[in-house]
Amino acid sequence: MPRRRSLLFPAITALLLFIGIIGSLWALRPPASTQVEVVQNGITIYRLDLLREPDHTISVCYNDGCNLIEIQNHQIRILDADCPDQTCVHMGWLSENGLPIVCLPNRLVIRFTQSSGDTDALA
Amino acid sequence: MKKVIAAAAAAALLFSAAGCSQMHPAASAQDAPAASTAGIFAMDTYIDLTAYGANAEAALDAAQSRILELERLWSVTDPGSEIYAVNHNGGAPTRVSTDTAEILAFALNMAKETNGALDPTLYPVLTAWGFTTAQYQIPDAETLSALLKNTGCEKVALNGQVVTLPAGMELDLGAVGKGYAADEAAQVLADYGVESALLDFGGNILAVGSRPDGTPWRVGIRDPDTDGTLGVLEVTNQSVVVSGGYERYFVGEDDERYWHILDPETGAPARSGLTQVAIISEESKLCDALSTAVFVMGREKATDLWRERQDFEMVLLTDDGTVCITEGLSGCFTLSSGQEGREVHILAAET
Repeated sequence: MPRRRSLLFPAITALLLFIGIIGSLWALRPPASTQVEVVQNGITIYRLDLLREPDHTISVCYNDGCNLIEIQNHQIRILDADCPDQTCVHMGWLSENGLPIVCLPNRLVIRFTQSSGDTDALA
Repeated sequence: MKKVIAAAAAAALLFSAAGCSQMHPAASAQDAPAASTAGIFAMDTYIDLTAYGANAEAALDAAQSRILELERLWSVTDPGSEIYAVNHNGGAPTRVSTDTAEILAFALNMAKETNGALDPTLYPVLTAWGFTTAQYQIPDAETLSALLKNTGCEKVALNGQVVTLPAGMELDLGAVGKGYAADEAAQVLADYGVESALLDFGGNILAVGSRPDGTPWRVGIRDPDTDGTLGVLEVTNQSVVVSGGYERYFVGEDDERYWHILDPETGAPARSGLTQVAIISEESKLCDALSTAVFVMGREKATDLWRERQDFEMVLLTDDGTVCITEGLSGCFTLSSGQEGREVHILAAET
């Protein structure tokens, strides 16, 4: 029917325009911090782009002490550790405005490689 | 047919317009110029150093060496340290280096100036609670009373570079060591001509100069309840040191939190009505010493001390969630979003 056809065309055009605008906005958004490094005893053992990493776990050990690092939904945390105080596990997921995740006994640090939060340091 | 061509052309135009975007990475203070960084495990924490300038790398190398040198002198647990020697010399006079004599003099002086709220002789009590071994327990009143007999700065004799500590007593510079080391590290950087740096001693922050672009460094104060920030301080050539029970504690069988900042009078965790203390001043060791002392003293005594000294500013978070800010910080401290529900009191110099 001529009537339906004339409505369909503008509707599709509007939809394409909408997708185009959203797409442009998405492409232009400021990049969130996704580059992290896992440093053990001063040596960077992993440099990861959280956006590209699939969900998985990594085990890292220093002498007899081990930490189990988890990457899930583009976030990273220490899931398990055999250090006595478990501070590193309680720190939860690495956050942009937060402190790096540190396991002192096992000399492990997980942090963003470039700060893009609102602060330069957290006291 | 014309309509189909027109539609196809329009669609093509729209798709190309949608794809026509360029990524312009946002310029930020951290992007240019390049920072030199160094990270070391020392003084029972992780130390993160960032410096800018031509000599930054060499400066950071030298600063790290200085920090490790001081750690070797002051570690309570390292049998090769001077503090260990003092603590295990059975009451005999012990000669120490200038660095150790200086920090000891500083700590003893701060103990006096805070009427004993800062006390570097509590190590045996800290051990009784399990904070030095992670074997946490609640000592009974008798044990605490007995241990407290072997504490008290008035019993420590320091004559030049000779320390005499009665047998059974132990010195612990944990409350001032990081601040002192930060000041020393900053001096090393200055000697190398570094004018912009940020030193993070496990949360003890020392800002050298401003950011490379000339704007003040932005130092967040952690919100103890969430993962976010309570507020942001804008600082140039200042140190920020925060203390709070939430930093190191265990939960007892009574569901109470027992933390590592002890009241020297009772030997038990200090409960002065404060959840968190942030001290801001030019000297990092002063911030370090005062952050512990003020946590023990509570809001009223801390305010009196602030009015008397006038050489530091502070942000106090009380147990009921109120934020108290000394008036010298107006314009430099902003509460973060999400904190609007908090009551804010400005502490004025004149009563």
